[in-house]
Amino acid sequence: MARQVPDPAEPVPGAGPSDETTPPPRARPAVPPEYDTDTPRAYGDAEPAAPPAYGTTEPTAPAYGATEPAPPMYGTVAKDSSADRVAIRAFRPRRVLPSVITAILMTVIGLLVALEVISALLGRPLRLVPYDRILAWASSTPWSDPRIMAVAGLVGLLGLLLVLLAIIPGRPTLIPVKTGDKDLTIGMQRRGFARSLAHAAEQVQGIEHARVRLRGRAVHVAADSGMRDTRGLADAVREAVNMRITALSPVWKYPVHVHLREK
Amino acid sequence: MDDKTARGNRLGLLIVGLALMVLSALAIARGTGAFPRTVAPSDSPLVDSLVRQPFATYDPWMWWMIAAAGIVLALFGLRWLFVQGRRGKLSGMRLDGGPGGATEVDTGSVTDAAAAEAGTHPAIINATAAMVGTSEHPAVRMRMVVAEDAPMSAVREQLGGVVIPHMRQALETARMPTVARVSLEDAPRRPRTVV
Repeated sequence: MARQVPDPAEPVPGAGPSDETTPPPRARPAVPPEYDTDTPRAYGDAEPAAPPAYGTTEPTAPAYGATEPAPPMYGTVAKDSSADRVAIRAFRPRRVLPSVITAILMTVIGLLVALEVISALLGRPLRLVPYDRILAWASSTPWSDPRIMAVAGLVGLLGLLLVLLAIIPGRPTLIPVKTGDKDLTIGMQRRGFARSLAHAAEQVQGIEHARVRLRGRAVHVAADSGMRDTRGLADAVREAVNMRITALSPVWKYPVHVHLREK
Repeated sequence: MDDKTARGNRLGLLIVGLALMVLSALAIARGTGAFPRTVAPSDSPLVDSLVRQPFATYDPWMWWMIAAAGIVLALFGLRWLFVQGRRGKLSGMRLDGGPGGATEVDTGSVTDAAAAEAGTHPAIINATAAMVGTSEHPAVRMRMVVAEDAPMSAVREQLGGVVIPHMRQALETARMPTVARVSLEDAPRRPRTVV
């Protein structure tokens, strides 16, 4: 709920001479949107009622008549721009699992030490850990003991693993999409991307079934054809898949490999 | 989860990892006799008179220090755990309302409207939005289901050309960084394209 309803008579800065107001208090219907869609668009004079015919696989040419030089230019997206880097970074894995495990271990070890020491200092030792035996063992075992070396080696490897987890950026969880705009980051799920490419391949006449695997940054299309004469079919599939990739405009280049299985 | 948590995770893992590596290297160096015999012989036990001495000299305080160190370690661990759930969701935003003072706006109505407006595009099957960040630097997180045969330029234009400018206008902010997570869904089949 808006705690204070803005005065409707007060014009919104930048809204032009229209009588647009800030959004009224919450009303939940999904449509129509609460903001006044009759005001002039910030983006040229595009008609929201006539969205681009997205069914075409033509990836270029924005359908909106936006000709203002205002950033960013849609449709013509700059190559490897800083926006791409922002997008790639946005979908990097966040190392939640190793962090949670390390944090839990830190908490448990810290608490255990504090509890044992304080309880002993107060004269009521908890003895959750058999530290008398550990002390006796540590008092009689030299540093050169092979077991000490083995444990130290393991701890070192564990440390190396954590350092690597921290410094290796990792594969983004979503495929970043070119937007040419630092403030607009779009990522698409890998599975949906692969499935979409498979469906694009299946729309080629002569292809009955297609499966797409993403191996790193390469697209492998396995397509089944029921036709006897498959001349040019692989190229047609590659072209269809490439067109779909261009339309989905991932930040990276995805080379397409087609494996045609004939019947 | 926000970017701060991701950075914090990397930093935390780096610090703990480096600490473990240093401890391990020191232990191995001691065990293999890399230190001078007079300082740290490899055949002396883990706990020798040099270790016992400070505990005897500063009797209770050494132990209190260790207890305090344990508590500090546990607190760091707990804090690290708790920030994992941090979303940074912004439910109310303060707008500069001129001489009358600030206006508090419920971001839910704005994000609902943005999601609904995004959904008016035929390529966007479903959309949800949430505001994150601070009143000074708000940002939007969106989740969308998009028809898989729609070009991303359609989504780009609907967000960058319509939805985001409207949000910026409604919230009177110059920037509205937006991160949209798109899942592509199979749209109703259309006739095959003949190639």
